[in-house]
Amino acid sequence: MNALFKSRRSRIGVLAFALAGLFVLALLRLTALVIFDGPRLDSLARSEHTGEAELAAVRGPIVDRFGEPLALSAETRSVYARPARLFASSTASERVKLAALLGMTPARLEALLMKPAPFVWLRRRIAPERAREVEALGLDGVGALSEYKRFYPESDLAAAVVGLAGMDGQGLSGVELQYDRYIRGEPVELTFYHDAYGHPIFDSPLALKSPEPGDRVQLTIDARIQSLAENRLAEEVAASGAKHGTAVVLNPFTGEVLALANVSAHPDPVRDRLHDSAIQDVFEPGSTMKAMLASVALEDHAITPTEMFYCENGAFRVDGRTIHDDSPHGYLDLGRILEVSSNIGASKIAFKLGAERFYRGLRTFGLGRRTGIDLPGEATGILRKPSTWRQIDLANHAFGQGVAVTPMQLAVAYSAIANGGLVVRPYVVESIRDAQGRAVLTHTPQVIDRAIAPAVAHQVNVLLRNVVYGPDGTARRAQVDGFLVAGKTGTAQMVNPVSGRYYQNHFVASFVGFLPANDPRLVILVVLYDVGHGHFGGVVAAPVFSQIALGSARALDIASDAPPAYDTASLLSIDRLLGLSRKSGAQLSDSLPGTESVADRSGASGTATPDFVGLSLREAFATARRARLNLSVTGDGYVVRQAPAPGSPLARLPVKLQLASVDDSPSGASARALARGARPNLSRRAP
Amino acid sequence: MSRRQSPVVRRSRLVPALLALAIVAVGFFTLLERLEVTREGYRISAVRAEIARLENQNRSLRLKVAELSSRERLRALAPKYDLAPPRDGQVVMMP
Repeated sequence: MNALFKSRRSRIGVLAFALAGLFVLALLRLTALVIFDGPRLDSLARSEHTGEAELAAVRGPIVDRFGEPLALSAETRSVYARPARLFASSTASERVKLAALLGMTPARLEALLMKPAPFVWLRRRIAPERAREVEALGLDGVGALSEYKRFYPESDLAAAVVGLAGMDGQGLSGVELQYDRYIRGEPVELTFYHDAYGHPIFDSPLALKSPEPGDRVQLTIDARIQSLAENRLAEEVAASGAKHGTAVVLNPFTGEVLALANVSAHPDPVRDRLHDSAIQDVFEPGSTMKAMLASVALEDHAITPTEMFYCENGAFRVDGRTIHDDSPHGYLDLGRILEVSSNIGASKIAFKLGAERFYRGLRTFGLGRRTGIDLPGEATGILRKPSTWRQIDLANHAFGQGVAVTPMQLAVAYSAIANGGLVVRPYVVESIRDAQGRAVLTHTPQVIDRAIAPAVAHQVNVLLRNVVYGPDGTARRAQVDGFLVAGKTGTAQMVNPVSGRYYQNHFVASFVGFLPANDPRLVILVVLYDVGHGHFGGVVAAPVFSQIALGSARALDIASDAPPAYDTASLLSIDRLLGLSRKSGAQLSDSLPGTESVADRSGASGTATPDFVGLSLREAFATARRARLNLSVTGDGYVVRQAPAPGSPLARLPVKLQLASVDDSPSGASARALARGARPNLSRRAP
Repeated sequence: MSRRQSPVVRRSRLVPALLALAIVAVGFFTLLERLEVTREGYRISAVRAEIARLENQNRSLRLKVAELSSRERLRALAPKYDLAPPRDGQVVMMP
């Protein structure tokens, strides 16, 4: 044995044997770990050095037809806190500084930090610069994460069309909702390896994935025309006391919506983005229906343009109800019926046409069904089946009562008249492109139906010009300098939703037309809701149409029909031009030929206020319409007092009329003495 | 008395030694490559972060431009520079 241990070889052999034994033990241990504990240990290891994150996608922009941004997303920072760590590592004064940077009171901050949660948001989506100031405080337990926020740089421009995106980046209304699946992009769920500091390690193809940004949506809306429409509408809403107004500008051939304006007397930035009156609210179209009646009647050969209709001298009994015209008329042809907007004439045309054919014609014009515009929440309007119509209903429908349309439906119907008879689908999105500029979706014009033949459309087009240019036309204020206009006014009583009856003092005033009438490029509709007495479509809506039309024609470089009226402008001397400052713009415009002053636009025989005293309400309306004046009426009966006084200079403000009943009282006797005409016989609506 | 090793024995030890050296070299270069890949991974991550930062900055600047040139803002600023929309007759459309 001594000999064995003394041998060097033997000692090396024992050592080697021992080492081998340890190695075998280690191998056995490793094998045991891999086979029995492998999955558990692997999971532990992964949780140590892998991380998961969702990389949010940035929402795509929405731009107008020329690329002007209407909705954009940008990075913001959201500040969070881990309350326990913050309390442990910060002083009260440091937290006060933090509160100041976050724009909150120290008490509010303390309240947030007292919440029983390991993680609280302190302020979400703030400017990156502000978040950097917070991080610069170096407080342990406070951090910031990146989040995207939706911005609307043009404020409320086209708010209802663009819509609203929520806090979590989802579309809630308008285009934001309708095209949400394109706009929101593709976030990425990422699993990656990271080092001890949390830095991702490039070790996997997964690390290469980036979120797909949202697509770019280009609208058909022209921001210039949209802005013009909203401004002009806002001015008239304020001036007329309307609750709200809507304007639609369409290309009649393609259905492109160039402007879709909704203006409320009491704007609300969120509500105005969530609700679109132009496609979601309905109203009784009033006399604007007469153009469709004429179209259907001509198309069906029920009448001819020269056929005469007896208009009963202004009062016509049907089913025990009396239909009134604004002025008494005898025999009128179709053109004159449209020009003077005779309800009785329209009723007789409808009787000749018949309920069934009238209904079918209105359906082909798109009434009673959605236009198919690419916006959410569109209403269908109201058009009852003809089997439910009595004679009085047929008559009412002829002048746009008992039927309800959305502004967009009416604009599309008039587009059919303008473009030769085709009902087109309106749309607001022209194209959608991805981040690389590739087209994802492109809208092209789409014809839904043929409502009338081209020849009939042309006939009605010509007849509608009389409404604007005829001596008794109700829409003379719709004229546009340098352009031929065709269109129709409408003034309809509003329905009381509680009682189901018509209000006496609440109207919807509208005008819808197109220009140039000999080569239509634009259809423009203006509706003013809940205007008072005397605010006819030709008085309040037609001027707004004219202003929008002129501005739109300039923006689109539409050549005028006639040479401009300012051809002597070049003869003005330079001295005279230079001598006028920018602040005296009024002087400059007055000195140029072809301009009009407010007094000139009054349309009165002179510039004096007409005499309304002694007139019935109906007669007062008729006089006001001829003079193109607004009225503000109190009382019933006959006019006993007016302001301004008869003969005084005309002003833009409404003429105030006080009415009193005719009775046996002393005041009634003086009213009788002043009265001139027949018994009061109020119609249910004015044209 | 030590025994002299035969030349045959010396040559048989050289091969294992060279083999071991080769294995060590391969292992060393494999490790080096792995480290290089990891280093490149860090660099790529940093570049991607920089790209994302610049893209976000670009978006913020576009937003800033849009807000500064918004119609509402320009309309509010116009009176300060004695500017106003043209009135009727101030704009003459020349054929």
